[in-house]
Amino acid sequence: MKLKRIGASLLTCLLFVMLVSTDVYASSSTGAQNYVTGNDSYRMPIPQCYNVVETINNIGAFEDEERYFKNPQDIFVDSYDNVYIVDTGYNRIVKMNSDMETVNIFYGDEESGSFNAPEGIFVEDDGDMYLADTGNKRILHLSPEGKFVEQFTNPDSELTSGAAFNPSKLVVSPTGYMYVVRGENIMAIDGSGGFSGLYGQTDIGYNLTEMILRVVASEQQKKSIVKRTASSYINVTMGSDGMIYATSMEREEGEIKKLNSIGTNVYRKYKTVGNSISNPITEFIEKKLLKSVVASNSFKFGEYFDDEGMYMEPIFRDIAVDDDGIVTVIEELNGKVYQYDQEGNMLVAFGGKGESAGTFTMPSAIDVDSKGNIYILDRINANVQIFEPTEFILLVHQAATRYGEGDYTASYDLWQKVLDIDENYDLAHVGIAKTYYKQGEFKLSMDESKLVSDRDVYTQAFDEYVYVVLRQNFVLVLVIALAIIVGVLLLVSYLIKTSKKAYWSFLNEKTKKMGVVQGLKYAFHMVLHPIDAMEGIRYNKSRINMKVPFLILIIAYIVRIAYIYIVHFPLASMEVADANLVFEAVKLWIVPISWIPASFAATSISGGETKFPEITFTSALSLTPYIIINLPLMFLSNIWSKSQQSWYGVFSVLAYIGMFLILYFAMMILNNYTMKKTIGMMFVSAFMMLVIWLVLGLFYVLSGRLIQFIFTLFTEFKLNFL
Amino acid sequence: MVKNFIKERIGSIILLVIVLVMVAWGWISIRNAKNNAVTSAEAYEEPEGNVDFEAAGSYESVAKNDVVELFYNEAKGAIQIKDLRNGYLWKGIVDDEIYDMESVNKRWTAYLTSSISVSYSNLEKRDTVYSPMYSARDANILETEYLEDGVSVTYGFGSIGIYVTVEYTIDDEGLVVRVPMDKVREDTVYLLNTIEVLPFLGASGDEVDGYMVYPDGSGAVTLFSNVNERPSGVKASMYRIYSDKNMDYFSLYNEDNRERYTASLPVIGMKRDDKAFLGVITEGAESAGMGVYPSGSSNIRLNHIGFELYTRNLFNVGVSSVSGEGGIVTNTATVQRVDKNLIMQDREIHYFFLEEDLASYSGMARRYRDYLLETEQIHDVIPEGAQMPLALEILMGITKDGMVFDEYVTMTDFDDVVSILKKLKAKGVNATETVLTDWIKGGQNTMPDYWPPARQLGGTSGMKDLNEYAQVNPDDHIYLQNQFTIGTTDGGGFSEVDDVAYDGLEITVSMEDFDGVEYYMLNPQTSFDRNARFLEKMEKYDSLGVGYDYLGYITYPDYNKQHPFTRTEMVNKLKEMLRSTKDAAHTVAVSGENQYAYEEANYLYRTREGSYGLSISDYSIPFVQMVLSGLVPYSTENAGNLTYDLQTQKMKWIEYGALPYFHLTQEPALNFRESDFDDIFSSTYDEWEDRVVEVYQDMYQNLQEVYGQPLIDHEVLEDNLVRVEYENGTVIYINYNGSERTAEGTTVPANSYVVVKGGE
Repeated sequence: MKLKRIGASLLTCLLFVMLVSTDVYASSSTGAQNYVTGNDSYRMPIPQCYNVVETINNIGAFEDEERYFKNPQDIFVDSYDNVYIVDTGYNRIVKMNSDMETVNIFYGDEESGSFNAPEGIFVEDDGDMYLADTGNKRILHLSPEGKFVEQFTNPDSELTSGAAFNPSKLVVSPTGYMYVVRGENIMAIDGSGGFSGLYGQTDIGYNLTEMILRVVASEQQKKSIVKRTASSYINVTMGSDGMIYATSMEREEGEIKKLNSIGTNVYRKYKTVGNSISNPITEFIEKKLLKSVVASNSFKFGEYFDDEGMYMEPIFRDIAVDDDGIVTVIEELNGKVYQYDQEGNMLVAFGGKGESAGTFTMPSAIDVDSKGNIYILDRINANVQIFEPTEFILLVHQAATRYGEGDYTASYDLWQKVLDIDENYDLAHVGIAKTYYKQGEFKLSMDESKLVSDRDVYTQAFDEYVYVVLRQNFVLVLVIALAIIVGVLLLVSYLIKTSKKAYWSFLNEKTKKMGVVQGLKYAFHMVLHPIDAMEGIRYNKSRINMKVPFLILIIAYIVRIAYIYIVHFPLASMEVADANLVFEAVKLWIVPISWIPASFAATSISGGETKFPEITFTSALSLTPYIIINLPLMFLSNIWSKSQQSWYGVFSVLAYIGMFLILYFAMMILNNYTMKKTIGMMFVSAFMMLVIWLVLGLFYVLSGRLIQFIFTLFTEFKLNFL
Repeated sequence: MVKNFIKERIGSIILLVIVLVMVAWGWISIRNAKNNAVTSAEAYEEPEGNVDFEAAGSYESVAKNDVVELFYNEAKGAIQIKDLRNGYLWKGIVDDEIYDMESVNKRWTAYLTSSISVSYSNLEKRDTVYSPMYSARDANILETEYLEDGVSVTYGFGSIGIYVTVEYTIDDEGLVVRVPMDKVREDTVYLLNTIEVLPFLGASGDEVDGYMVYPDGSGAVTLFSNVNERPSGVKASMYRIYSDKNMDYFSLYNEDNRERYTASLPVIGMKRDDKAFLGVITEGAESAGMGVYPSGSSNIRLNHIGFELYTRNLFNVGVSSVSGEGGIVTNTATVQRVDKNLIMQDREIHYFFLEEDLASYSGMARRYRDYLLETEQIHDVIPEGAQMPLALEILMGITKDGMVFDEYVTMTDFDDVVSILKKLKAKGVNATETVLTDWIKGGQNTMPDYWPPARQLGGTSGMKDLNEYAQVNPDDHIYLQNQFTIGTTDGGGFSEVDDVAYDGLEITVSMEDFDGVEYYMLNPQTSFDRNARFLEKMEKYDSLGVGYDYLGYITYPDYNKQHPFTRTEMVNKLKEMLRSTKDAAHTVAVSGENQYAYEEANYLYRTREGSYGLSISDYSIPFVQMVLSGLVPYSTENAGNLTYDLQTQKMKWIEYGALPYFHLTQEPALNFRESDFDDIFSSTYDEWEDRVVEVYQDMYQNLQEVYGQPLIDHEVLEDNLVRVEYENGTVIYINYNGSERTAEGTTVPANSYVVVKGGE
């Protein structure tokens, strides 16, 4: 029982390591360097975007008040650039003017009673303050002078009465509704304190670890698995466009949301999966299936590793949106500030944890004033740092805004100016590529977007370009296409014929061993007639040529390597530079090779007839469909782009289905199993295979440990005796 | 027979061997633990003290010359020094006049009234940390020997059996404090780690008008008056001179770590009203550091600054432990171990007492510069009437990771360099300081190779052409950058056993990167030998100089068995290396700004521009640059093409007296994407040519007359408005504000600068 549980947890650990370790990338750049990251979490240095111009460490000369802040949790800059700091530790609100001189301090008046650990504030244009008086479980509406106006407690509703009311972060819309963060929802309260609905329920998502656990766990254990709830919201702010911008613990595009009036997230929605979504089936293919085949289909806000390269899940503690719709968030664990445009493209990441100006210990809140200065509150350092935008980032903002407004010529010029400063700024190249696209310069657009590996823009331009080429050279293209089709058909019919011949000669010439070329043809035949081919092997076990499986493995590997170089870049699963020869071999061979001992072990204990040679032979030959499909596919992909990726995905998946079928028929026929038993044995073998991986993984981890242990022992020995 | 016997019992035999090993291991550990338990400290008999800690004593004059008079209090072992030019008395320890001693606890009273404090460890429990010993509380044995020009005091810390002798003498400049290492005595198992010398000399409360100066980056200032603007829990800051004290690869190499913790000059300064002192370590600076304690740190409202002498090297030992389910969790703790041996290097500190116009950070820099000139540690290498050069760094070739083979990408070949220099010349750039980087075969991945030039760049024949160009254009100083500090297993060509640096635990100073490549610090003798071989290769290219990467910011001791080095010896070896290059008729450029590089350098590049930006530093100053200016040409770390705003960067160069500097390539910077050089996001020469020329022309026309002149004064007039003055009287006002400012009757436009010539 216990062993099973340990096994399960080890398995999930291992899978986890395998899943996350590939895209963790550590950068050597220090905290001072500004950068942007693309989808592949690669940090691209860019010029300095913000400078610290002022640090406010205390309230300055203001009567006889406690000078410093204590655990401040929120900052708000109103439309007149007055700054409100919620000084949670001292239960007060410090109001400063735009010169950061303290003009007032509020503790609550007689009517309201004193505040108790307030955590959030929203100030209307007329100066009315809405304070989340968290410790007192209420929201206070205060006049600009800090006088009590009204208070809101838990609104009456079936949906809310069960839960405690701990208001922390809130906004008030121009229409008078109050939106308060409440777990996985944002709760709306109307002007009279009535409950007006829960908005923007976060996605529950699915969890691989949990799925595996559910398969492995016993009935009893299943009960003890904690039911997962949806991710919580963290903070909200109000955009000048009237939209609610929020941060949450939801992952993959859900970290930052832009909610419309009915609570739907419209920020970057499906931006990353192309434009071809039309029905639930293709949507499923694109969102779930293609993630494993085509890279960059999953988008995450922020970064999922810290400066040391260790995996972490970001917590966007606060969010600010300026008048141009530039979204800035502050991440708590790594202390980074991330800025995005309205399309969700990262403009800059800066900050970090540290001791120097412009770095943080525990940032707790962020806001932006009318000049674009960013105010960041740190609750451990108990200070506010004011960041002023540099020329460079102002240019970027203008360019992004102009483009969003549809003024392509203006944005083109601005992007050019950005490139004058930073020749490698991704978004500028994308912006220019988009402008070219709008101007009908498709080839230029393709070149420009390819420079920075932007698949979406490239795809748009490519599709138009293909259309243009087709229209201009219709006859020529038609002739070439016909020629290729005829050629391929001839080749295929020849292959079918010759492989059939090879099959029959293998069966009939009982004394001759299988030749190498004959074996390869036999492999081809096996794809078309798996049952016949398996029967052939079953009755002629002794005559199969063991060079063939190795040859197939090597050919498949060569195809894979060639594929990485040749496949059209919008459809590529990785960049050539990121590819690793060993890793590719492991990925390709791990299933067919580990299948050999796994299925041998499984079948030999349940009346199987197979021996190692024929299992090796058939397992390796299961890669034949992979070769047959990918060889033409890599060339064909060059006239396809991301808009055909579901077709592309289907073909890729076919290769794996073919592999599965061959393994299935091999097991069924070679062992003389029934169909049902084969399925059962397939499961057993698959489980054995997982066990083998686990053991190998454990061995890898433990041998590393052992080496480390010996080294430590050696060091200790040296320290103690030398 | 025997074979079968073994065969049948192989399992048991292996088990037996394992058991034996474990038993032996256990026995050894137990023996070792027993050895540790019996400390000889118990056997040590504490000598009887001769000090009455209650006695107030009195200050008697012990030495006097035209400039200063030294007073000594025999009962306390404390000193005071009087500046005879103005009668100002500098106190070595804190008394009631300086600070309300009633308000502090006993420990702090002891510390405030101590001339020295020591930290120490235990030989047999080397991980134990003890709180420091203060001379005013713990030195129960005090022996005074009167010298001709001062006094030699031995502070004996009887309880731990450590004796430290400090000599306080005076000369024409001021106070000289010497700590002779051969007089350090350790009678027990306790080991002396550090000595803090005169930590409270000139200590000042908040009411004093003044500041502290320390070489954080290019220099930083802590104003006493700004105490209320700092965060509530302000912390003291420690700096290690030249390189980090920790002897591991990361501490030495990591840029952020270096910028945070190291000081490039062995200098501290304090200004009190219109008087100031400048402290300089004049001997053994390599193993020392400094502490800056602003008012409010440790809850004491007192500003003080002082040197700390490291008498032993420390080593970090990573101890890892495995825990947690599934063996996934790893806990690593770092434990510090001290070396058994003392660093046998005498230390000498000079305190210069300054008044009038010298009593400022600019004055301190001037005084220090004069000291370096007097002792020939810096030379004027800018000839009379020299043209102001443009500083260039040109990157030649890189390698990018490929799936099968690494791809070599030519960024600028030797012909391109010549054509760039010619084009610039045609546009009026009369002189350059050009450093060529990554020109060695194989790009950047081949450290520590130093030869040959990559064939893709034109190889040796390309280099010959470049040499010919340099020969006929003596105003273009071209340096081929090389490095003799770091070696990687990728590069090879050195022994990973004999040629590398070791720490005191005989572990190599090295680190493995994510690709499994091991990086080593090289043994200084190895560096020297490799440089000698490089110079042989360079014989044919005598018009080209050599640039030394890392040399100006990394030093370390080396416990290599064949060629051991102390830090001081390493620094001397580096100087010798530079001398040998100059003897071979090559000019020398050094990256970094550590003081030991000044002596032989013809050009310093990538010097720090500003300080790290701690909350205790009120503003950055060009202290390092004021020492260098007019003597050695230098550029700063920030290239004009990698900044967010060229105009602001230009003004920064002008404030720091630095050359305009660009980091360029012939081929587009797009090639740097996803390479090791992606921080160079913009560098294409054709894109930048116009701006380079424009900036150079602007600076040349306005500042040529001050090129070769020392920068004698730097002053922050108000926020973002700076005034600098050169020796010939030329004053420059630099206004970083977005609006116009008026300074001393001169109107300075927004984001611009104004040059006012001397005598106008």
